Amino acid sequence: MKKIKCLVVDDEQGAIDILTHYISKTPSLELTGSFLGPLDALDAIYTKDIDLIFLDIHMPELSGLDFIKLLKGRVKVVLTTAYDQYALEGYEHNVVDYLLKPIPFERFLKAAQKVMDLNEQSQPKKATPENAQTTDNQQDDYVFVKADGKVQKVKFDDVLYVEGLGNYVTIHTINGKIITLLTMKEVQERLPESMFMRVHRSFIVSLKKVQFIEGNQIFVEAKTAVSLGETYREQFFKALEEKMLLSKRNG
Amino acid sequence: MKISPTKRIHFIALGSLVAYLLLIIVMNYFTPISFFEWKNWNSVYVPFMVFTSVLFYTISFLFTAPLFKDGSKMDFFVILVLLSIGLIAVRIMALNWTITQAEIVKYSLGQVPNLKNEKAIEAAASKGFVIGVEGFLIVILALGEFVGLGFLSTWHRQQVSFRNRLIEGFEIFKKNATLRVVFWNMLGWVIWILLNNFNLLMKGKFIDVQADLLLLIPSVFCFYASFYTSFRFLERNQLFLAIFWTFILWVGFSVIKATYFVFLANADLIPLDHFGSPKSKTISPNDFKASMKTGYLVGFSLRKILPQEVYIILISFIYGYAQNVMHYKGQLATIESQRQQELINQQRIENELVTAKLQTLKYQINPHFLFNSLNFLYAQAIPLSDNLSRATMLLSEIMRYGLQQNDETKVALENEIKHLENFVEFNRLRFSNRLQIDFTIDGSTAFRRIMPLLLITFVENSFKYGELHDANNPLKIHLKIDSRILYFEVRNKKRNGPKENSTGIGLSNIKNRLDLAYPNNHSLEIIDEEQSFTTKLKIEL
Repeated sequence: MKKIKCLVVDDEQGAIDILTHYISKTPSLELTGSFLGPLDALDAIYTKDIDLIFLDIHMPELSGLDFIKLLKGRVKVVLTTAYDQYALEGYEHNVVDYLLKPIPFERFLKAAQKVMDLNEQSQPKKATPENAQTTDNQQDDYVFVKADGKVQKVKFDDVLYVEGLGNYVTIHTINGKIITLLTMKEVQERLPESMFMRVHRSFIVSLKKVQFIEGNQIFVEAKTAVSLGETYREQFFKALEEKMLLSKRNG
Repeated sequence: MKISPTKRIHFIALGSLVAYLLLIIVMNYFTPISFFEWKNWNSVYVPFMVFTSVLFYTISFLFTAPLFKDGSKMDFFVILVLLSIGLIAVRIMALNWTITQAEIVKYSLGQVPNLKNEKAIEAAASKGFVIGVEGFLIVILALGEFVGLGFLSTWHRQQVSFRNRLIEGFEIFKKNATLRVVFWNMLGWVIWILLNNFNLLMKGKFIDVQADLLLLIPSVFCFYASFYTSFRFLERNQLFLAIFWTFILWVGFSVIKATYFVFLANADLIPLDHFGSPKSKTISPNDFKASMKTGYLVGFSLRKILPQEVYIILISFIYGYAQNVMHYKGQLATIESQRQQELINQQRIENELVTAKLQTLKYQINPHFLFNSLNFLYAQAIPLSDNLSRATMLLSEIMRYGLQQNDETKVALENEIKHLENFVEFNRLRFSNRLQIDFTIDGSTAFRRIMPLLLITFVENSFKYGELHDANNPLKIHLKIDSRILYFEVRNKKRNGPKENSTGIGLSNIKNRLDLAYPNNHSLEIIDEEQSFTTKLKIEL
């Protein structure tokens, strides 16, 4: 596999030393150069073949955020900073990750993994047997429902939760909601058991989308919650735990 | 001519009232005792009639009028007619009663019915006929009145603006202090008249309304004069002046009232025997000359008036005191609320001070500077010592977690546990791994949220006060989570030697925060034994 070529830009030698040390410990990364000033780094970016920059935000000549604007998406960026007041702005610039100094090595590895995942995605996939099988499985990753006199396609991955309203159900997806003439039982039968779970008399939730639980509320987004029914509680937590163990084993 | 809807309503309301008053006058003209015979004016029947009319209007407005709009028209008419018949029956009963009473009045002035007297027999015979005719007329008129009232109230009910006006009027009354005072004062005087005539009412006799109203005028003056002068003297601690002035008012107004009474009696507006008959066995007023007679009458009525005016003055004092009490109560309430406000302000200022202090502290540890420094230390430590670099990393993570949190939002339980682990690990490094710590977690911590910097407080406390080097009594930190509840137990052996000073702020602060974040669904048990200290926390997450 091709190694990812990295630049480190920081106005402190100590910070550069740490990142250099980490990059040398990570087989998939390769250090092309390190710079104490952003202006020198710009030159290297235009002349050399660079995939990734570890970029400090607070630098005397040019701030990291302004530096990103000059890059125009040419190179992937991982921001490094001592304090996280710029975290949100950083994500606006579509950076890959955001590391807080001093950076623990495990956290650094995670960022490197993210970059590699992105690289894989951008490369066209070959139809290996393994891939073929996943597409086979994926044949059944959606359903059609009738709503507003139209037939609409609903991907399981998009569904946040399903809310029952008598004879109707509302399917809340990341793109909006779809109201259709179905009962909760019918919906439950059609949704894959491994992904969805009944958590209340009138709620089915996508386990993938669960963010956190507070009291008897399951948050599927930062501010969207569905109720967790008393009778479903034990079962729900058991399912979550199983999911977690599985993911741990896989990872 | 164009009239605005509100004005039209006013005209109609006023018109209805005038029409009603005219109706009363006309109906009274037909009653056996004519309305215009002032002295014999029936003081029971007229108020009773007004009362029944108002009652009918109210019932119609509240209950039958909606029927006209929503229900069947048949129901509406039937109820209206039944109600009218019922009230007419009640009226006739009252009239019959008042007629017999009226007869007594009419004939009491020397015309006692005497069956031997031919004229009286004739009168008695014609009386039945008269009553019959008059009764019939009354029924017809009353029926007309009730039907009119029924339609009027139904129509009123349908006028939204009229209803709003009623509500508005009530609101104005509630808000306007002067209006309220006037109303209660008027009511007070009505009650005063009723109390004065309590005796008569109980005996079923008549109140001489005209005489009562006329004689009330000097009493009213006396009351307010006393209230605004002698009570004010008393209020200003001018006791002698108050007593002296009250006496003058009392006697003066009594004499004025007595003179006024005799004047009215001579003008034939009040029966001369209003205060009882001045005739005595030995001397009759007729025995005196005209001027002497007046003097005698004044003296006689003064005997009755003097004690009555004492009540008036007394009540004026009581009224004044009651008003003062209310006033002081209001002032006290204002002072109390001001004090409360001051206390709150002071508390706020104190809070702000604490916040400001914390803020300066926070600024002093400029996070950028802090973490950049730690980063520098970390960089320098990597080639030198694993423990040093590890400790630097742990310290910066601990500091960062502490600085990031504010009380309002909950954080992932996993982060809080990570913080605990960092803290424990850092201390292990400090004491070269000689600390005896037993840290266990049962259950899944994923997806759960918790108030930040809660669990760490208990662990920090054990590090401050606990003996952690004894292999037989390790520090036990146990966390257990099930689908509902988080159990957290920290148990440590107590240290014997010198301890860090306890501020007591830590635990009480935690209690406050728990009350705020988990009201009614947490429990905190602190077991303080001779050898060990245990805290058991239970939260419904």
